[in-house]
Amino acid sequence: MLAVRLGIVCIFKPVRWFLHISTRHLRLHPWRHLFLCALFFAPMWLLDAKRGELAPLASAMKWVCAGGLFLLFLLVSVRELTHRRRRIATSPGWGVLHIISWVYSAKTVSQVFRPTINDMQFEHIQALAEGNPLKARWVLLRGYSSVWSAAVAQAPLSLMKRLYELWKAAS
Amino acid sequence: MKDLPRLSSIETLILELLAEHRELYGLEMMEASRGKLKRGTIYVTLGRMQDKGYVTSREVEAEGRGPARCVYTLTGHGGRVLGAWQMAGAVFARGVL
Repeated sequence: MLAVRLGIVCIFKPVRWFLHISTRHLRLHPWRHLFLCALFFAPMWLLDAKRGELAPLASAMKWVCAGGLFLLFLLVSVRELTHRRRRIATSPGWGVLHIISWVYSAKTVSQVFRPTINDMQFEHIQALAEGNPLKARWVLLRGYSSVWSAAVAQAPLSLMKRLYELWKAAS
Repeated sequence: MKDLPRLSSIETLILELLAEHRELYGLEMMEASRGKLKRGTIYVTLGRMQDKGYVTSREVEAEGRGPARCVYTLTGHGGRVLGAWQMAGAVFARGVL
Protein backbone atom coordinates (compact mmCIF):
# COMPACT_ATOMS: atom_id res chain seq x y z
CA MET A 1 0.00 0.00 0.00
CA LEU A 2 2.83 2.32 0.92
CA ALA A 3 4.58 1.50 -2.33
CA VAL A 4 1.45 2.36 -4.32
CA ARG A 5 1.09 5.67 -2.48
CA LEU A 6 4.75 6.47 -3.00
CA GLY A 7 4.36 5.56 -6.67
CA ILE A 8 1.42 7.92 -7.04
CA VAL A 9 3.16 10.74 -5.20
CA CYS A 10 6.57 10.33 -6.81
CA ILE A 11 5.69 9.29 -10.36
CA PHE A 12 2.04 9.67 -11.29
CA LYS A 13 1.47 13.20 -9.95
CA PRO A 14 4.68 14.74 -11.32
CA VAL A 15 4.09 13.09 -14.70
CA ARG A 16 0.50 14.31 -14.80
CA TRP A 17 1.59 17.80 -13.79
CA PHE A 18 4.36 17.75 -16.36
CA LEU A 19 2.03 16.60 -19.15
CA HIS A 20 -0.58 19.15 -18.18
CA ILE A 21 1.87 22.04 -18.21
CA SER A 22 3.63 20.84 -21.36
CA THR A 23 0.48 20.35 -23.37
CA ARG A 24 -0.94 23.64 -22.20
CA HIS A 25 2.27 25.31 -23.23
CA LEU A 26 2.45 23.53 -26.57
CA ARG A 27 -1.17 24.26 -27.38
CA LEU A 28 -0.45 27.92 -26.89
CA HIS A 29 2.69 27.90 -29.03
CA PRO A 30 2.33 25.48 -31.98
CA TRP A 31 5.59 26.54 -33.60
CA ARG A 32 7.47 25.38 -30.51
CA HIS A 33 5.71 22.04 -30.74
CA LEU A 34 6.88 21.67 -34.31
CA PHE A 35 10.39 22.66 -33.36
CA LEU A 36 10.53 20.13 -30.53
CA CYS A 37 9.14 17.39 -32.79
CA ALA A 38 11.77 18.18 -35.39
CA LEU A 39 14.44 18.18 -32.70
CA PHE A 40 13.29 14.76 -31.57
CA PHE A 41 12.61 13.05 -34.91
CA ALA A 42 15.49 14.36 -37.01
CA PRO A 43 18.22 12.45 -35.08
CA MET A 44 15.91 9.40 -34.96
CA TRP A 45 15.58 9.41 -38.71
CA LEU A 46 19.30 9.97 -39.26
CA LEU A 47 20.26 7.20 -36.84
CA ASP A 48 17.70 4.76 -38.26
CA ALA A 49 19.35 5.25 -41.64
CA LYS A 50 22.65 4.00 -40.17
CA ARG A 51 21.12 1.38 -37.90
CA GLY A 52 22.83 -1.47 -39.71
CA GLU A 53 26.36 -0.54 -38.73
CA LEU A 54 25.78 1.60 -35.61
CA ALA A 55 22.95 -0.17 -33.80
CA PRO A 56 24.28 0.21 -30.18
CA LEU A 57 25.19 3.85 -30.74
CA ALA A 58 21.80 4.53 -32.30
CA SER A 59 20.07 3.02 -29.30
CA ALA A 60 22.18 5.08 -26.89
CA MET A 61 21.55 8.22 -28.89
CA LYS A 62 17.81 7.60 -28.76
CA TRP A 63 17.93 7.55 -24.99
CA VAL A 64 20.06 10.70 -24.96
CA CYS A 65 17.61 12.45 -27.29
CA ALA A 66 14.61 11.30 -25.27
CA GLY A 67 16.29 12.45 -22.03
CA GLY A 68 17.26 15.75 -23.61
CA LEU A 69 13.76 16.26 -24.86
CA PHE A 70 12.34 15.47 -21.43
CA LEU A 71 14.70 17.99 -19.82
CA LEU A 72 13.85 20.57 -22.42
CA PHE A 73 10.14 20.06 -21.81
CA LEU A 74 10.74 20.26 -18.10
CA LEU A 75 12.73 23.49 -18.32
CA VAL A 76 10.20 25.08 -20.63
CA SER A 77 7.36 24.01 -18.36
CA VAL A 78 9.02 25.32 -15.20
CA ARG A 79 9.89 28.57 -16.89
CA GLU A 80 6.38 28.90 -18.27
CA LEU A 81 4.83 28.12 -14.91
CA THR A 82 6.97 30.55 -12.91
CA HIS A 83 6.72 33.22 -15.59
CA ARG A 84 2.94 32.98 -15.73
CA ARG A 85 2.56 32.91 -11.98
CA ARG A 86 4.66 36.02 -11.59
CA ARG A 87 2.76 37.81 -14.34
CA ILE A 88 -0.65 37.01 -12.96
CA ALA A 89 0.09 37.45 -9.28
CA THR A 90 1.88 40.80 -9.24
CA SER A 91 2.31 43.87 -11.34
CA PRO A 92 5.86 45.26 -11.65
CA GLY A 93 7.20 47.04 -8.59
CA TRP A 94 5.03 45.48 -5.90
CA GLY A 95 7.82 43.19 -4.72
CA VAL A 96 10.14 46.15 -4.30
CA LEU A 97 7.37 48.08 -2.55
CA HIS A 98 6.96 45.24 -0.05
CA ILE A 99 10.69 45.19 0.68
CA ILE A 100 10.73 48.98 1.07
CA SER A 101 7.71 48.87 3.40
CA TRP A 102 9.85 46.91 5.85
CA VAL A 103 12.50 49.62 5.94
CA TYR A 104 10.62 52.93 5.61
CA SER A 105 7.59 54.30 7.43
CA ALA A 106 4.10 53.99 5.96
CA LYS A 107 3.97 57.74 5.42
CA THR A 108 7.23 57.74 3.44
CA VAL A 109 6.05 54.78 1.39
CA SER A 110 2.76 56.49 0.52
CA GLN A 111 4.38 59.86 -0.18
CA VAL A 112 7.51 58.82 -2.03
CA PHE A 113 7.63 55.20 -3.17
CA ARG A 114 4.04 54.44 -4.10
CA PRO A 115 3.79 57.39 -6.55
CA THR A 116 7.13 56.41 -8.10
CA ILE A 117 5.98 52.83 -8.60
CA ASN A 118 2.54 53.94 -9.81
CA ASP A 119 4.22 56.11 -12.44
CA MET A 120 6.38 53.19 -13.50
CA GLN A 121 3.32 50.93 -13.80
CA PHE A 122 1.42 53.61 -15.70
CA GLU A 123 4.23 54.07 -18.24
CA HIS A 124 4.71 50.30 -18.47
CA ILE A 125 1.04 49.75 -19.29
CA GLN A 126 1.15 52.57 -21.84
CA ALA A 127 4.19 51.03 -23.55
CA LEU A 128 2.52 47.61 -23.65
CA ALA A 129 -0.68 49.12 -25.02
CA GLU A 130 1.38 50.74 -27.78
CA GLY A 131 2.73 47.28 -28.58
CA ASN A 132 6.29 48.24 -27.72
CA PRO A 133 7.81 45.57 -25.41
CA LEU A 134 11.31 47.03 -25.65
CA LYS A 135 10.07 50.38 -24.39
CA ALA A 136 8.16 48.56 -21.64
CA ARG A 137 11.39 46.90 -20.48
CA TRP A 138 13.24 50.18 -20.62
CA VAL A 139 10.47 51.79 -18.54
CA LEU A 140 10.84 49.05 -15.93
CA LEU A 141 14.61 49.46 -15.80
CA ARG A 142 14.31 53.23 -15.46
CA GLY A 143 11.51 52.88 -12.92
CA TYR A 144 13.44 50.49 -10.68
CA SER A 145 16.54 52.69 -10.82
CA SER A 146 14.44 55.71 -9.80
CA VAL A 147 12.92 53.73 -6.91
CA TRP A 148 16.38 52.85 -5.64
CA SER A 149 17.68 56.40 -6.03
CA ALA A 150 14.61 57.62 -4.11
CA ALA A 151 15.41 55.04 -1.42
CA VAL A 152 18.98 56.35 -1.18
CA ALA A 153 17.84 59.99 -1.13
CA GLN A 154 15.25 59.26 1.57
CA ALA A 155 17.52 57.06 3.67
CA PRO A 156 19.30 59.71 5.85
CA LEU A 157 16.04 61.41 6.92
CA SER A 158 14.25 58.12 7.60
CA LEU A 159 17.23 56.80 9.53
CA MET A 160 17.31 59.92 11.70
CA LYS A 161 13.56 59.62 12.33
CA ARG A 162 13.88 55.96 13.28
CA LEU A 163 16.79 56.69 15.64
CA TYR A 164 14.81 59.52 17.24
CA GLU A 165 11.81 57.20 17.69
CA LEU A 166 14.06 54.57 19.31
CA TRP A 167 15.68 57.13 21.57
CA LYS A 168 12.26 58.51 22.55
CA ALA A 169 10.96 55.01 23.25
CA ALA A 170 14.03 54.16 25.33
CA SER A 171 13.82 57.34 27.38
CA MET B 1 14.97 86.25 9.92
CA LYS B 2 15.26 82.81 11.49
CA ASP B 3 11.62 81.97 10.62
CA LEU B 4 11.91 83.06 7.01
CA PRO B 5 11.14 79.98 4.89
CA ARG B 6 13.87 78.93 2.56
CA LEU B 7 13.33 77.20 -0.73
CA SER B 8 15.80 75.10 -2.67
CA SER B 9 16.02 75.53 -6.44
CA ILE B 10 14.03 72.31 -6.98
CA GLU B 11 11.33 73.38 -4.53
CA THR B 12 11.10 76.78 -6.22
CA LEU B 13 10.79 75.13 -9.62
CA ILE B 14 8.03 72.79 -8.39
CA LEU B 15 6.10 75.67 -6.80
CA GLU B 16 6.46 77.75 -9.96
CA LEU B 17 5.18 74.89 -12.11
CA LEU B 18 2.23 74.30 -9.81
CA ALA B 19 1.45 78.02 -9.71
CA GLU B 20 1.47 78.04 -13.50
CA HIS B 21 -0.48 74.82 -14.17
CA ARG B 22 -2.74 74.68 -11.06
CA GLU B 23 -2.37 70.89 -10.60
CA LEU B 24 0.08 68.40 -12.06
CA TYR B 25 1.10 64.74 -11.89
CA GLY B 26 4.72 63.95 -11.01
CA LEU B 27 5.44 62.81 -14.56
CA GLU B 28 3.93 65.99 -15.99
CA MET B 29 6.15 68.06 -13.70
CA MET B 30 9.22 66.18 -14.97
CA GLU B 31 8.21 66.82 -18.58
CA ALA B 32 7.41 70.49 -17.91
CA SER B 33 10.75 71.03 -16.15
CA ARG B 34 12.65 69.81 -19.25
CA GLY B 35 14.98 67.51 -17.38
CA LYS B 36 15.61 69.66 -14.31
CA LEU B 37 13.50 67.37 -12.11
CA LYS B 38 14.68 63.76 -11.85
CA ARG B 39 12.53 60.68 -11.42
CA GLY B 40 14.45 59.44 -8.42
CA THR B 41 14.20 62.60 -6.35
CA ILE B 42 11.02 64.41 -7.36
CA TYR B 43 8.78 62.46 -4.99
CA VAL B 44 11.27 62.79 -2.15
CA THR B 45 11.13 66.58 -2.60
CA LEU B 46 7.35 66.56 -3.02
CA GLY B 47 7.02 64.48 0.17
CA ARG B 48 9.07 67.01 2.14
CA MET B 49 7.07 69.87 0.62
CA GLN B 50 3.86 68.14 1.70
CA ASP B 51 5.24 67.93 5.24
CA LYS B 52 6.00 71.65 5.16
CA GLY B 53 2.49 72.36 3.84
CA TYR B 54 3.53 73.88 0.51
CA VAL B 55 1.67 71.34 -1.63
CA THR B 56 -1.16 68.85 -1.21
CA SER B 57 -1.84 65.68 -3.12
CA ARG B 58 -4.86 63.57 -3.90
CA GLU B 59 -5.20 60.23 -5.64
CA VAL B 60 -6.93 60.20 -9.00
CA GLU B 61 -8.24 56.97 -10.48
CA ALA B 62 -6.94 56.16 -13.95
CA GLU B 63 -9.42 56.84 -16.73
CA GLY B 64 -8.74 53.77 -18.84
CA ARG B 65 -6.22 51.41 -17.34
CA GLY B 66 -3.43 51.64 -14.82
CA PRO B 67 -3.06 52.42 -11.15
CA ALA B 68 -4.38 55.47 -9.31
CA ARG B 69 -1.90 58.33 -9.47
CA CYS B 70 -1.18 61.34 -7.26
CA VAL B 71 -1.94 64.79 -8.53
CA TYR B 72 -0.30 67.72 -6.71
CA THR B 73 -1.75 71.15 -5.99
CA LEU B 74 -0.22 74.30 -4.57
CA THR B 75 -1.57 75.32 -1.15
CA GLY B 76 -2.25 78.88 -0.07
CA HIS B 77 0.77 78.72 2.23
CA GLY B 78 2.93 77.43 -0.62
CA GLY B 79 1.75 80.25 -2.87
CA ARG B 80 2.58 82.85 -0.25
CA VAL B 81 6.01 81.35 0.39
CA LEU B 82 6.72 81.33 -3.34
CA GLY B 83 5.61 84.94 -3.66
CA ALA B 84 7.78 86.01 -0.73
CA TRP B 85 10.74 84.04 -2.06
CA GLN B 86 10.42 85.53 -5.55
CA MET B 87 10.08 89.01 -4.10
CA ALA B 88 13.15 88.50 -1.92
CA GLY B 89 15.04 87.18 -4.95
CA ALA B 90 14.05 90.23 -7.00
CA VAL B 91 15.12 92.56 -4.20
CA PHE B 92 18.49 90.83 -3.90
CA ALA B 93 18.88 90.90 -7.68
CA ARG B 94 18.33 94.67 -7.72
CA GLY B 95 20.90 95.01 -4.95
CA VAL B 96 18.59 96.95 -2.64
CA LEU B 97 19.58 94.96 0.44
